[in-house]
Amino acid sequence: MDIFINSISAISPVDSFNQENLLLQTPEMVDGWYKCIEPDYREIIDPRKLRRMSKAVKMGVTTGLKALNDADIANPDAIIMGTGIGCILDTEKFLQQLIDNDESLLNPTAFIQSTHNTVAGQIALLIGCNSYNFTFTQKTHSFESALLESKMLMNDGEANTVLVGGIDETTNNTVALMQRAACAQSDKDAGYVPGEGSSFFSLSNEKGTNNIAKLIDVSVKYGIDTTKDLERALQEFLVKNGLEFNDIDLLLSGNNNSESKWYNAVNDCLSLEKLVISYKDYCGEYDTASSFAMWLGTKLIHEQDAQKVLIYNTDEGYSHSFILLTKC
Amino acid sequence: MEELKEKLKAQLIEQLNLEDVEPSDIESSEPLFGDGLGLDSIDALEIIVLLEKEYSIKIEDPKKGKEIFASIDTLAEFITKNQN
Repeated sequence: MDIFINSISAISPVDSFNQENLLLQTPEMVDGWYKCIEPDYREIIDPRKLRRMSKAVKMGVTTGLKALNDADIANPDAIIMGTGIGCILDTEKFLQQLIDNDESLLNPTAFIQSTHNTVAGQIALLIGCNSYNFTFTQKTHSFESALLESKMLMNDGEANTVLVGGIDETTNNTVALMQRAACAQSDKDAGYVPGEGSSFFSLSNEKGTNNIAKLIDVSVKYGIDTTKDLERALQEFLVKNGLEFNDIDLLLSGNNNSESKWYNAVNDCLSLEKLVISYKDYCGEYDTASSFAMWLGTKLIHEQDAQKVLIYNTDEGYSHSFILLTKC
Repeated sequence: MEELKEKLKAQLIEQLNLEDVEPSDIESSEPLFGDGLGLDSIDALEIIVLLEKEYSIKIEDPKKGKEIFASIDTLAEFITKNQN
């Protein structure tokens, strides 16, 4: 079954929310990481409801509602989301209160809002949607899991329209902990730069004039030990979808400035002549950064000449994900 | 009492994160819940925590909450009566 993308919306470090046409500029690094450029939420969400929302919830609700609005969908058949670390800001607040108040007199709001499924729940509450609502949290493949679930629901005829998204917020505390664990650098050339973002998509199984791109397939692979195995897995993924290496004209690579044999292997498979964009140069590294890549890929297909876009991401070889998008 | 009421208004605005609301916007006699300021049950929990933390007052009978939290006037009166 064909799955079409009817609208996209993203809040990211490159001012993606208000952009009419794609304009990628290198984000400004603040406190050693890429922060999102946020819109004025009061113009979008009722201020009375806004007061309890943390940054992640505001970003998610805003992009989710915009994606629905742009696709002219009042009530989707499913809302499915992926997040790696969830509403970390409210989690930090809640934990800090535990320490400060000696485990007593805890404010309820931070606790209530700190759960991973707050964003998908808030979107459903705001639009009065009682349909399927699910949040996946599987580290760097949380968004891919949400996409897989969307695809399966549509293939099984359980949903015709799905709102799917990926969201993660970052905080100075998170970055400090990552730096202490030596897995993030504030110097862009020395390692990867942490980032954050929220990207949502309205999917439909109906061909129409509002289709802007096609989601062909998504796959997550585990247990790949060598680059040869990775090449084989990629080839199988493409063949399954009737394609060869040479058919891909744009690779959106999750390479985050580290010398990675995995990213180099995928680049080599597709040949150096193909256009390669390291999308984390624009959004930073976060668990659901591949949702930003899907936003970018869809934009490049819809507004520019890209025909077949492959998104590849890996978390140091532990798992590998492929997302394939094409023109309609 | 007036000083306490003004302090309560400022504390509620901060604790409940009431965006774009100034202490002068809250009438001391207006209902805090429902039609007035539009607070809800989560806000009631926040106010219970605020009373205990800032004024060391515990609400022993939850059934009286509705009466106590009716307005800034009733809240200030309750604090004045129960504070040591």
